[in-house]
Amino acid sequence: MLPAIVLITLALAPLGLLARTGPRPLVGWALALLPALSFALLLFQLPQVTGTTQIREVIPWVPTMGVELSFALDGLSLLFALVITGIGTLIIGYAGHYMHDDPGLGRFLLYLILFMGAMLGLVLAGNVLTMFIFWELTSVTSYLLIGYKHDYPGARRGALQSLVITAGGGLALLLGLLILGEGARHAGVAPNQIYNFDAIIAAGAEIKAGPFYTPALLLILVGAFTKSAQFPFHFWLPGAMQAPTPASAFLHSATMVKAGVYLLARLAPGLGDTPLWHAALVLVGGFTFAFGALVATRKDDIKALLAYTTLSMLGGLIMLIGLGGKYAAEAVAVNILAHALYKSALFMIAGIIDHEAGSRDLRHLGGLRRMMPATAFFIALALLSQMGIPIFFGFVGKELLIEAALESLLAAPWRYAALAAIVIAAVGYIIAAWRLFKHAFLGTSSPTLAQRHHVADPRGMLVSPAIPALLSILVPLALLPWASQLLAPAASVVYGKPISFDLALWHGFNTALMVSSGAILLGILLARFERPLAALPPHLPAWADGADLLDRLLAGVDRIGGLIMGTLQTGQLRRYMLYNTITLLLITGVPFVLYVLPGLSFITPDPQLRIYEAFAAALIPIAVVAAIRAESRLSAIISVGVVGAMVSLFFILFSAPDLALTQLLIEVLSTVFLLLVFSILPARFANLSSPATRMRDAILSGMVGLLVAGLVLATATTTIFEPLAPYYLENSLAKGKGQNVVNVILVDFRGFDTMGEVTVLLTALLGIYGLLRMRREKQ
Amino acid sequence: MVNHLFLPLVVPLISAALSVMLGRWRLLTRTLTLGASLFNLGYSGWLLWLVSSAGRQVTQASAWAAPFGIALVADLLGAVMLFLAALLMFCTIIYSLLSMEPEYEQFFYYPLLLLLLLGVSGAFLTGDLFNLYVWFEVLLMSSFGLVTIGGSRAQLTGGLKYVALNLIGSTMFLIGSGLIYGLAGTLNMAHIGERLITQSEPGLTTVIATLFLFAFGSKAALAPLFFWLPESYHTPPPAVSAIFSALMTKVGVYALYRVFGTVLPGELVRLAPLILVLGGTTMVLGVFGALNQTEIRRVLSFTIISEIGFVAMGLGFASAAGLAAGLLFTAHMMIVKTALFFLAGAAEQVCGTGDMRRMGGLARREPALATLWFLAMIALAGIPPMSGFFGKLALLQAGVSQGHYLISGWAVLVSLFIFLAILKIWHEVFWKKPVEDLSQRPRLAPALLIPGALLVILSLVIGIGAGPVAELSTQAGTQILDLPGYIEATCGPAGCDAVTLRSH
Repeated sequence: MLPAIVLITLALAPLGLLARTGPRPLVGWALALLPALSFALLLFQLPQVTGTTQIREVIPWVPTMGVELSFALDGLSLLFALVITGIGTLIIGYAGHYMHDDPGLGRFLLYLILFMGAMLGLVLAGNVLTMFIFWELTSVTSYLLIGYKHDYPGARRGALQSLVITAGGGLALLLGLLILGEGARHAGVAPNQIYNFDAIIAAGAEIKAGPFYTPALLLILVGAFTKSAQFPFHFWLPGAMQAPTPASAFLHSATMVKAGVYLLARLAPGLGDTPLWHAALVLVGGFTFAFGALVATRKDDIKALLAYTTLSMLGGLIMLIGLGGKYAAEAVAVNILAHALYKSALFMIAGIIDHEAGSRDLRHLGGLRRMMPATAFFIALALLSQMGIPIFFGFVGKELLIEAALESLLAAPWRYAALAAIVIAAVGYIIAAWRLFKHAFLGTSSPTLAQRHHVADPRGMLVSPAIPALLSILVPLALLPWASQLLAPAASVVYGKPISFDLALWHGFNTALMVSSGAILLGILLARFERPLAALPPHLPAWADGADLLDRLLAGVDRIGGLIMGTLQTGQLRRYMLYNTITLLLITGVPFVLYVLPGLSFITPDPQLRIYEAFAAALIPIAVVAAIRAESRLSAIISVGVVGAMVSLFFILFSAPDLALTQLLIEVLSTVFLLLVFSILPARFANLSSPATRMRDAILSGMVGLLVAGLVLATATTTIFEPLAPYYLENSLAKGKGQNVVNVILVDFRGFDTMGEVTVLLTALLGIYGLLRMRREKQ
Repeated sequence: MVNHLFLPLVVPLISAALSVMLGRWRLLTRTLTLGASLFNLGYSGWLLWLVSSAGRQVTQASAWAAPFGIALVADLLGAVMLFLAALLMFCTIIYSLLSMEPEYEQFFYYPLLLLLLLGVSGAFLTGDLFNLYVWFEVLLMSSFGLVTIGGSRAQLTGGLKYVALNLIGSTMFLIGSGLIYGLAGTLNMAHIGERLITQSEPGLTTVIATLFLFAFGSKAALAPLFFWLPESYHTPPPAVSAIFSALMTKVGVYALYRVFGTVLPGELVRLAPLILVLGGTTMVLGVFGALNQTEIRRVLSFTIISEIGFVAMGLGFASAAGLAAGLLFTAHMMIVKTALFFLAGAAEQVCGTGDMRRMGGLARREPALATLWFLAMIALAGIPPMSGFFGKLALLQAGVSQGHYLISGWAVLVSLFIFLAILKIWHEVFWKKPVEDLSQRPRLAPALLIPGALLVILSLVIGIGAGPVAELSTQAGTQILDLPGYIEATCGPAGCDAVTLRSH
C-alpha cells in the first residue's frame, strides 16, 4: 500500500493539467480527492502503528548500490504523511479558487501533486538513499513552484537561490549518508542493509564510536539545516515567497521545510546524544528560533513575516531534537502538528488578503475586519494558536517546549540558552501576530483599499484555511485524547523507546506555566510598542543580507572561473601546444627521470662504424637546426628534406629497401605539396616571437626530443620478451605465400590495419573536398 | 571464435563507399546511411545481449591466430560503447535528416558520419594496440571533415586547433605503441597485458603508460589537454556538435579504461593518484569555463570537459567499482549530452541565434521543448530519477568506500556548479521573457524534437530501471579488470605466450 500511495500520486500528477480549463474551482476540489483518499487510507493505519512498530514494504530497485524502494510506516512517518495529505487536500482545493483565472493552474497543480508524491516518499522511505531521492525531487518541484511566475526576475532569483541552497545541501547530505552507510558497514551491519534507517539506528552506538560519525553527521546537518532554512542558510525561505501562495502554504510552511526536522528526528535515537549533536542542534536551532521571531516582528509583507516565523519554529523544533529526552520528543510531535495547522491556515489567509485586497503589505492594508469578518475570525484563531495563548493548540505545544528545556539532561548553559530562545521567540510571535492583525484588520482602510470594489469574504477560498484554524482550537478543547493517540507513536520514534502520554491543557501551576505566562505578558506589553520597535535601525548591516551574499558569492565564482579560464583559454594554438608540451614533460618526463634514466645504458659504440654511417647520422641534427633557423620557407623545406633523405639512407643501411623506398616517396611528395602551398605564401617567415619565447620553445622542444630519444634508447636496450618478428619471417612464405615479408605483413598478417589506413586516406580526401568546395561564408 | 564482429565495421564502410559513389541519388544515400546505422544499432544490441549472457566474443582477422594477427574482442565495455555509439549515431542521422541543409549532402556529410561510426566502432572492438591507433586516425580524419564542412572562418580555426592538438596526442600514441612493441615484443593487447603484468616495479612500462595517459587524455579532453574541445565543438551545425559530444571524447575515455584497466592494470595502480589529480582539475576547469559562456552550445561543451573529470575519477579509483561507476556515468552523459545538443539546436532554430543574451521565452512558446530540456537538465545535474543520479551515486559510493573523501567532496561541489551553469541556460533561454519578438519566427517542427525526446526518455528509463543497468555496469567493471579472462578469450586458455611457443 505504501509504495502505491507514493507512486500513484506521482504517476497521477499529470491529472493536474486538467485544471488548464474551467471550471477551475470545481476541478481543484475534484483533484483534491486524490490526497483525501490517501489521507483516509493512512488514517486507517493508525491503530496498527503504536510505539515504534512499523509497517514495512520493500520493492527492490538497484541492489548493487543498496537502493531499494523501501517504505516503512511508523508513528513519525504517519504523522507527517497525514499532515502532507491532509493539508494537501485543502491546498489543492484552495488553489482552484485562488488561481481561478490563471491559465497556468494546470501546470501549477502538476508540480504541486508531484511535490506531494515526492514528499510522501520522503517521509515514508525506510532507506536513506530512497529518502534522498525523494528529498531531491522535493527541491526540484519546489524550484518549479517558486519560479512559477518566471517572467519576473524576482521569481527567478528566488527559485534559483532556493535551489542552490537546498540542492547544494542535498549534495552534502548525499555524501553524509554514504559516509554514514560506510560507518554502518564498519559497525558490522550486513552490506545490503547499510542504508536502512532501522539498521543504522540499531547500530547507532557503534557508529558513534567510529571515525565516520563526525564527518557523516556534519554533512547530514548541512543537508538538514539548508532544507529547513536554518541560520545562516535561512534566507532562501523568505525568497521562496515568490511562489504562488498555495505553494508557500504547502511547501514552505507545513511540509517541505520540515524535511530537515524530520530527518534529524528520525536519526535522533541512533545518532543523537553526543556533544556534537547537542551543540550543533541547540546552537543553530536555538539561534534561528529567536532570530526568526525577532526579524518577523519587523516585516511588513505578510508572507515574509510568516516566512520568518516559520523558519523560527523550524529552529525551535531542531533545538528540541538537540535537547533530547522524553519531553522533547513529545514537544516535537505536538509542535509539528500544531505548527502545520496554524501556519497553513495563516498562509492561506494571507493569500486571501492578497487576492481580495490586492496587496499583502501591512502598510497598504487596514480595516479589513469590516469587509471580511469571517476571514478575520479564522485568522484570529490561527494567530492565537501561534501566539501560544491558553486553550489553543499552540499553547499546548509551547508548554511542552518549555518543559523540554527545563527537564533536559544537558548542562545548565544549554538549558538556559534554550529557555531564553523560547522566551524570545514567544514574545516575538506575539508582537508579530499582533502587528499582522492590527495593521490588516483593525483601524481604517488605506485609500487604495477603499477604492477597490468587492472586498469580501471569499467563501470557497475560505473553506481550506477555516479547517486547520478551527482545529487549532478544537483539538485542545475536544480532541486531545485522539491527538495523543496520533502523537504518542510519533514521539516514541523520536525518543527511540515507546512512550505514551495524555496531552492536557492544564498541567497545574508549574514552572512551565509561569515562564509561559511571563512570556505572554511581556509579549503583550511589548506589542503596544510594535511601531517604534519596527522602526529601530536594521538588525543586520546591508552587506550581511544572505541572499545578496549568495548572489555575490556565485558571481565571484563566475568571475574567478572566468579569470582563470580567460587566462588559459587564449584561443591561440601555440599557447595550447605549449600546455601540451609542458604536460608531456611533466607526466612522462618526471617518471622517466625517476625510474628509467638511472638505469639507462648506452649502446656500446659499434667498432665497425663506417664513416658514411657517422656522416649520415651527424647530418640529421645539423639539418634539424638548419630547418629551425631557416628564414625562408624554401630553405626550411630543403632542410627537412635532408632529414628525410638521411632517414631513408639508414633504412637502406639496415637492409630495409621497402621502407627506404616508401620514405623517399613520402619525402618527395610532401616537398612537392609544400612547395605548391608555399607558392601562395610569402617567401620568408615573419618572426613574431620574442627571443625569450623562442629560447623557451627551443628548450622545451629539445627536452621533448631528448625524452623521446631516451625512451627509444631505453627500449632498445631492454629486451625482456621475444618479439613476434621471427614468426612472420618463418610463415610469410609458408602460410602467407609471399617472399616479401613486409608486404605479407601489410596485406595479410596485418591487412586489417592497411584497410583502415586506406580508409583514412579516402576520408581525408572527402573532408578536404568538402572543406575547399563548400564555402558558406562567401555565398 | 566467431566471425560476425566484422559486421559493424564492414557495413558502415561499404555503405559509406556506396554513398560516395552514388552521391547523386540523394534518397538512396540517405536510405543507405540510415540503413547502415540501423543495422549497427540492431547488431550491437544483439551483441550486447550475447556478451552479457555468453561472455567475451572474439574474431581473428584473416583467421591469423592471436597474437600474430589482429584480434577483435567484444567484452561488456566494448559492447556497451558500441551499442551507445550506434544508438547516438542513429539519432544524429535522424536529426540531420530533419535539420541539415541539403547542400551538405553534396559534400559527403552522410558518408563522413558513417566513417566516424566506423572509426569509433573499430576502436571499441579491436584487441590490438596499433589497430586502435588506426581507428583513431579514421576517427580523426572523418571528424575533421565534419567539423570543417561548410568552411566558415570559425570552423576553420576551430578545426585547425582540433586537428593539430589531436595529432600531438596521436603521435605520442604511435610512439608509445612502438615502444611497447620494443619492450613487450607484441601489439596484441592481451599479449601485452600477459607479458607486462610481470613488471612489479615502476619502470619503463610506467613511463610508456604515461605516454598513453597523455595521448588518450588529450583525446578524452583531460586538463590541461582539453583546449581543442571548446574551440571546435560549437562551430559546426548542431547535429555535428551533438555527435561529437556523443562520441569523440568517449573514445579517449574508452581507450583509457581499456589500456589502463585491462592491459596495464599494474600501471593504473601506480598512476592512480596522478589520474585523480588530473580528473579533479578537469572537473573544476571545465565548469569554470561553462559558467562564463553566453552561447548555449559552448556552455554544453565546457560541461563535457567537467564530466570527463568525473569519468577520470572513476578510473583513478583503480577498482572494479570505480570503473563500473565511470562506465555508468559515461553511458549516461553520452545519452544526455547528445539530447541536450539536439534540444539546443532546436532552441537556436526558434530564436535564430545561440547567444543566450538574445534568447528567451521558450518555456511559454515551446512547452514540449522546455519540458524535454528540463528533464535532460536535471538528468545532467544528477537529480533522481534520471540516469545521472545513479552515475553520480555509483561514483561517490566507490569513492567513499575506498576512502577517497577529498576527491569525492570535490566532485560533489563541482556537480553543484555544473547544475548552476546549465540552470543559467534554463533561466536565460526558457524562463526569461523573450528579448526579441518571436511571433514572426516560424514554429518549431515537432519532428525535430523526436531524437532528443527518445534520448531523454532513455535517460529516464535508465534511471527507473537502474537495477539491471547498474548490474550490467558492475559486471563490466569487474570484466575490465579481469586480465586473465581477457587473455583466455583472445589467445586461448594457455595464454598468448603458449601460442607463440607452439608456433616454433
